[in-house]
Amino acid sequence: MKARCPECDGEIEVYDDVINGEIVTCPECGMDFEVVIEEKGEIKLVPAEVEGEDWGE
Amino acid sequence: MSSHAHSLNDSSDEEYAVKLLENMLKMYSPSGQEAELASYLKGELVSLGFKEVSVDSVGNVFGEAGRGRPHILFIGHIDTVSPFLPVKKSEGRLYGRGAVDAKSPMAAMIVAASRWIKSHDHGTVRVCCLVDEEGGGKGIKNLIESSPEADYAIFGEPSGLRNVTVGYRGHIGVKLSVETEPVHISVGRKEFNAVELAIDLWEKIREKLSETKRSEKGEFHKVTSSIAGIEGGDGGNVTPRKCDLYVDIRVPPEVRCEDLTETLKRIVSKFNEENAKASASMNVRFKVNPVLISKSSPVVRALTRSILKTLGGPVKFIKKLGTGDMNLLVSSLGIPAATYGPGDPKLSHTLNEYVEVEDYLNSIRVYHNAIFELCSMYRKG
Repeated sequence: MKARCPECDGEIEVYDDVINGEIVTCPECGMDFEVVIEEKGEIKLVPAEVEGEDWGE
Repeated sequence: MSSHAHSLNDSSDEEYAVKLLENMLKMYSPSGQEAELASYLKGELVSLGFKEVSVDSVGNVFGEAGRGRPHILFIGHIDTVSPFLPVKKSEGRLYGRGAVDAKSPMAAMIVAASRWIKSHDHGTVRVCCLVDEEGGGKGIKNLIESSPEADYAIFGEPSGLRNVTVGYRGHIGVKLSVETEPVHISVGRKEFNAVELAIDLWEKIREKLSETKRSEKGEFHKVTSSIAGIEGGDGGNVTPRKCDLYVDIRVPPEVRCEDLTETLKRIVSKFNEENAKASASMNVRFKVNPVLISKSSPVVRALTRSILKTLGGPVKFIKKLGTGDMNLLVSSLGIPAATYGPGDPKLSHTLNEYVEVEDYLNSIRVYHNAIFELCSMYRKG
């Protein structure tokens, strides 16, 4: 299914079997969003800070 | 430490999983000395019921669980840095060299794959216990040369329980050699001193490389460079005739390794034009491309979904400043991959290496559920 980017209105592909907490990235503006599935099954995209850095192993 | 038959399921194999890791930690296995541990793991894989258990020409150990497609590689390494650290259990932690990097991810992948042996679903997990990751990478290079049949790969390295590692910077190792005419040290002039000239050359390189920095996006997206070694002079009464500088450069995905080495060549040429008495040369010792995996790629999604279903969120995506075996596999064979494993990466290579036993056991569940996720994705195409 498709969703609209809350930031730039770009089109974001969301898998049909998506689960709460999965992360999608807008291909146009590059922002990350957490998928929140609401009670009626509607999908909401919430901006998420999901990237971090670490040293090498 | 004899092998014995194990009937594995979620409730009965935790004791075995802890014992397996403890035994692995007790077997000190710095790069080049993995044979004892390799032999032990081969025995364990046979005992657990893995098929096609084998050891290749460099000492990597392999075993397969399940049948049919997709083919999933679970890749870990069995060597560590030195020195040996005493193995102990205390307050829910297991201490020892490799507890984080990377015997706990390796052991967890073995146990998770063993749970797949009796699965009725299609899918083959090939556990790859590699040597020499902390050395020159003999293990991963040999695996790549064998062109393994694989649809997906998961690397077992410490990321933290709810984190997936999606990026490693590239790596260039360069040896810079500067030679000049030696004179009495009391002359005090730089053009007759290869060490001082080499430092000059290094400063020019560092200044140029700093222009490629993209600080607004974090350290991962910068080019960084360090002197990893220096040889020159004997501390006596004559200026150093020759100096070798070993330079370590880390490369973000936005920059091509080839472009950087061309830039270095130009700096060395200019240096030679400006220093009539000296001669500088450059040798690229190795070059590894960076890797950055999309969050929507199948292996990252499978691990994310597995973490969410097994432990709950939120999940974070880690970009490592260093370079890993994943760089080589992805750039050579293009196999979709991501890296995951228990343990705090900041404890890697320290004298205080430990893993929380609960995290280790939970990571087994994450790896195991990731197999289901990958198989399900493969079936859906």
